[in-house]
Amino acid sequence: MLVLAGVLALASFAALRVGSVEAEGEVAAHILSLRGARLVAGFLAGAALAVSGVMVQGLFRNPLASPSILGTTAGASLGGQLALLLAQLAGFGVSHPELLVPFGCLAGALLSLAVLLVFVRRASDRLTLLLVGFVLGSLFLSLGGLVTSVAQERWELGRAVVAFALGSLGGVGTRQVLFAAPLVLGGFVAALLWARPLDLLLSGEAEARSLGVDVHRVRRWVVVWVSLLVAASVSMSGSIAFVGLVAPHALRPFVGELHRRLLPAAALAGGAFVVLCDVAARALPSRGEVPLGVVTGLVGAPLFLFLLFRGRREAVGE
Amino acid sequence: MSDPLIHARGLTVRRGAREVLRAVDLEVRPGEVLGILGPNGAGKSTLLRALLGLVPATGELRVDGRPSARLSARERAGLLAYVPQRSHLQAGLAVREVVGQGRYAAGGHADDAVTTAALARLGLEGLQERAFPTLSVGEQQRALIARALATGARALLLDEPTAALDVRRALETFALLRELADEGRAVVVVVHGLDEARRVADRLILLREGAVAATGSPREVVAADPIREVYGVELVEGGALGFRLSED
Repeated sequence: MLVLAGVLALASFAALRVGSVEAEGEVAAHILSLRGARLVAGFLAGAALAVSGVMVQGLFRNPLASPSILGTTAGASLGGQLALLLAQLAGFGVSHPELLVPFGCLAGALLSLAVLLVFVRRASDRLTLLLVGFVLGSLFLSLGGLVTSVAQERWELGRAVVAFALGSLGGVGTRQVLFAAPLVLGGFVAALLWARPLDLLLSGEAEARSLGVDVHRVRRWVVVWVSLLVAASVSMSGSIAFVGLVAPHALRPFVGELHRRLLPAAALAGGAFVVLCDVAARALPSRGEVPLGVVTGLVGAPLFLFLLFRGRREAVGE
Repeated sequence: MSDPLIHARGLTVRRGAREVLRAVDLEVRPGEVLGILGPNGAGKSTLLRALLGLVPATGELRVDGRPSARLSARERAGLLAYVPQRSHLQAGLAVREVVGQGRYAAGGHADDAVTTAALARLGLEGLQERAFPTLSVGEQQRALIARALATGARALLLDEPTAALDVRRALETFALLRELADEGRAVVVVVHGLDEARRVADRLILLREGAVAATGSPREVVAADPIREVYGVELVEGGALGFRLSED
């Protein structure tokens, strides 16, 4: 935990310093305030996704599960995009989307996990879970593309919707952070309260039930808390992938499998990972900023493939 | 005679249109070892899982006098403990944590005295910090029995607990089941071999294609007629090798 705290401190320092501009007085204070909000948003978004990743991996007993792999992030992103579009159509404009977007994200995440559970109940093997997640993610991305094309009619709306799809902390402000922070904190505390049943679920549903776990209740509430965490994250950063996969896997060899230890460590690591990726997104040579989702994807996708093939080798006993 | 801890009448389990368990009646009382016997696919494990409420079943099932369907998951776990043939646990939890899982329903934890006592009873003190998946199959089986003991449940339901054990460990497991019954627990155990069925049980239920083919004392059930009828083999008395634990 001390190492993680150190990494986070370094990442925070870099996040506040990278891309320094010559400014003094109120302008400098304003820049620092924006970067501070961006730093906190990045940390909260990463922590929420990493905690969600630990929870869905425990719930489905599948180390390859994560909100982005299961289509939950794409569902939340679609919900957020639709909220932006509906706000525009209803005449609210997009000047204060932070008031509406989290609700859209929550609805999208809940819908995505509910559909996933319906399919997984019929066939609960590891591959089916991943394939259904892939199909749902693709479907939500396609629908998101449709929303994007509709939104292009208005420049400001189109820009906000595209930022959602690609993942960015560029437009985040204090108001969004203040709105999302209680959701992330509440979701994290709830995750800790469900840590023991999730430990028992590592032995499978039958054993967990025989030991006194009300599996249906655990499943229902984990879906609610994961949806809340993913919605809070996506409402700040848009769709960023693989955080829920990278952080838990990097930590398990050091902190073990017990959820009461893994969850806080994952929160710190996920937060630090996103802050670092955001620093990289700002520092990489480009005309504008490289989208945050691009950077997390570049790190996460190879790791996912590595884990997938390592798992297959172990399964065939090589 | 004490009241039955588990009481089933007409217990039936369906998979689609097929009945995999048909109208099974049974009673298990504290202090008794009930063996469930039958050929492959007879429904032995399904019966055990139906008694535990792990598969949907029709018919009457009462646990400690109460309808099983009305028991919460925690209440049921406080009455019935399950020892599966193999655990699905692949995560590297320490043995003490696995045994401590048995304390969940009672609100206990892995560091409490009951967990320590269960580890000691199965001789697992030296292995308690080892990761569960790194244990041998026999050691894993002992850890699962210790976890069941840690629940403090009044009945233990075991699915072929000696299937992967060598002869010494198997005899030790049978001796432990007898001790647990003598302490007042009800024990229901699925057994595969006829010899071990006769060795471990006070009463036996012989299943064939999901229905009860014979029930009674081991001498009545492991007898020429029922065995010929269910397995299609002739029983040769005195023809099998016998073992007992050494004095030392």
